[in-house]
Amino acid sequence: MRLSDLFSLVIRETRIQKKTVLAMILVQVCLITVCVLLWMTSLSIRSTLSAYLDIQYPEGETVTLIRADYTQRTALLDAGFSEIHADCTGDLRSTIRCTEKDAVIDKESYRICYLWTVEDAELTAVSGQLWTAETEETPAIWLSERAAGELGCDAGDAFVFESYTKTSEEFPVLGIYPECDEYGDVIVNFVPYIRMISEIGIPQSYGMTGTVEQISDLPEIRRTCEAMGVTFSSRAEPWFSSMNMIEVLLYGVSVLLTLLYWMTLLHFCGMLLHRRTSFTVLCCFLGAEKRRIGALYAWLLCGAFAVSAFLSTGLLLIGIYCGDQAVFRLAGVSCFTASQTVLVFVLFVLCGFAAIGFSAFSQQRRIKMDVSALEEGGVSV
Amino acid sequence: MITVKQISRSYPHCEALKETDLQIQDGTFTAIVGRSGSGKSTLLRILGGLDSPTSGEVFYDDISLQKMSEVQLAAFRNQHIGFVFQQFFLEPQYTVYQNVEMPLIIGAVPKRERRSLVEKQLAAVGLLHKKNALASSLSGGEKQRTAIARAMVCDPPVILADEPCGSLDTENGAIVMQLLRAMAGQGKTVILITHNREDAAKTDRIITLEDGQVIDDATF
Repeated sequence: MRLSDLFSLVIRETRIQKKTVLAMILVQVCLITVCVLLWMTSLSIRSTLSAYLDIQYPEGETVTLIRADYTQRTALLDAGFSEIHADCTGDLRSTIRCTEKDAVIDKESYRICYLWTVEDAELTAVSGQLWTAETEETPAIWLSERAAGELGCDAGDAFVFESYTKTSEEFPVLGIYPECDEYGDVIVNFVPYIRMISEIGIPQSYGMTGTVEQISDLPEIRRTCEAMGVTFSSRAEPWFSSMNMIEVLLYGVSVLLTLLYWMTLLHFCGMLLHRRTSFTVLCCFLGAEKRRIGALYAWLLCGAFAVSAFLSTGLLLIGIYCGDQAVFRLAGVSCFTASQTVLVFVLFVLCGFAAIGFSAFSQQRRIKMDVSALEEGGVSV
Repeated sequence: MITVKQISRSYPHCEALKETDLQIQDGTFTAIVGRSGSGKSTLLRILGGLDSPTSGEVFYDDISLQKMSEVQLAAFRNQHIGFVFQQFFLEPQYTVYQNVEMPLIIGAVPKRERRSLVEKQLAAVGLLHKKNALASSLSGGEKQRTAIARAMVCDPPVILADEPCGSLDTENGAIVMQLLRAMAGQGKTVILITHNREDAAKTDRIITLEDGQVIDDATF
């Protein structure tokens, strides 16, 4: 039998058995998706729950804490964290210092406005010059009359933005403006400011996320954090006590569903082949080898299974996203990683193909070449 | 020439054939008759390589069916034997054309050649106009003619027909017998299994079986 003829027979057979093939695809899509998601969750539950602990530094004392952050972070790493990430959300935190005058613009005491727009000032400068369209790209600061008086600064002084280790280039005070509610106490030219902030790498939030290697490390990390006055929290912590039970439960359900998956897959293989036993016998009467007919059904089943696998990848992505969101809300952790998904999914698909091949050929071999099989199978129209 | 040597076939509860010997010349039209259970269908299955004898051998010229592997036997059936059954055994969801085409597909005949071969056989049995009709929509006589076209499409030298007129009315039965006679006229060896004496009388030779043994062999 030629390969092209084999494929046209596969298409013909698929058309004849379209309802069963469709049912097989739908059931397989659901089962593959659920099984892969469950196995991924089971395999990663322990490491997942031990990750993503929140560390919150106390509010206030901006400068000191940001500087302290650097040393404490080393200490925390020593305490067992494998990774710490600073989130870039919330208020932009940085120290604005005039070294020459030893003046610091305290964000709690002074209202800072960032100059976004390109337009000439409508105010009259008390001293120096105010902003124009031409100063848009220039690193520059303007102080209100009150702030300038309290800080002891005047036009021509320069401020820098500080991180742990770096400082920005100087932002000179270009002018002093009269008191104005609209502009607050300090005006910073936004475009050069944001460029500098990103260059010197100022952490922009107190919120940090740490990852521990093992759940067993947690008590030590908790003690270290508490000794440093750092608030340590994890929404996943209440789950730690029942970790073993959750794991056993998840593995149990995963195994059961996997068994169900294999049973349905083999059942569908059997159903598709059994319904066409008479066709197989007829083909053998006409001179076909059983293994050729086995190949025909193996291709048919593999095609249906490949469609199932393809559709389930889409469903898996949706499942992963929704599952991750749901678990994050419940326990504050992300539960799935891409590498695990691919591995488990590929394993399922490969085993599925192997089972189909085995089933198709072994069942064909068992079919008895008997006229009665033709009569039972309804080939005699 | 088909030679049957000391063929026996036993089943758990009975012995269908008992050391039967037979020789059938090429190009003859032979009827094997007997009552139900006499062993004629078993003999036909063994002659067609669909069943294996408990002992003995079947030779097509010098080739023993029993010495062939499964793969060789399948190829032999495809190229050398055409089957016609009482129940037609057509694939109901295939068209007439697709049913007749099946042995050619199995025999790896190229698609272009298949078309002319199938149409030639359908024309020979008078069913070319029905080639796109589903097999399930045909009448009994048309189904049997389709089955005959399928048996003939690979141009096999041997045709084994098991009660081909058993499910047909007299008129259609006569047409089928004419087609079988025509095949014999073309040099094919046609072996007809039947319990109908009238059909058997239309052949060149009648072999009578009883209890798995040849009790009579008459040539006309």
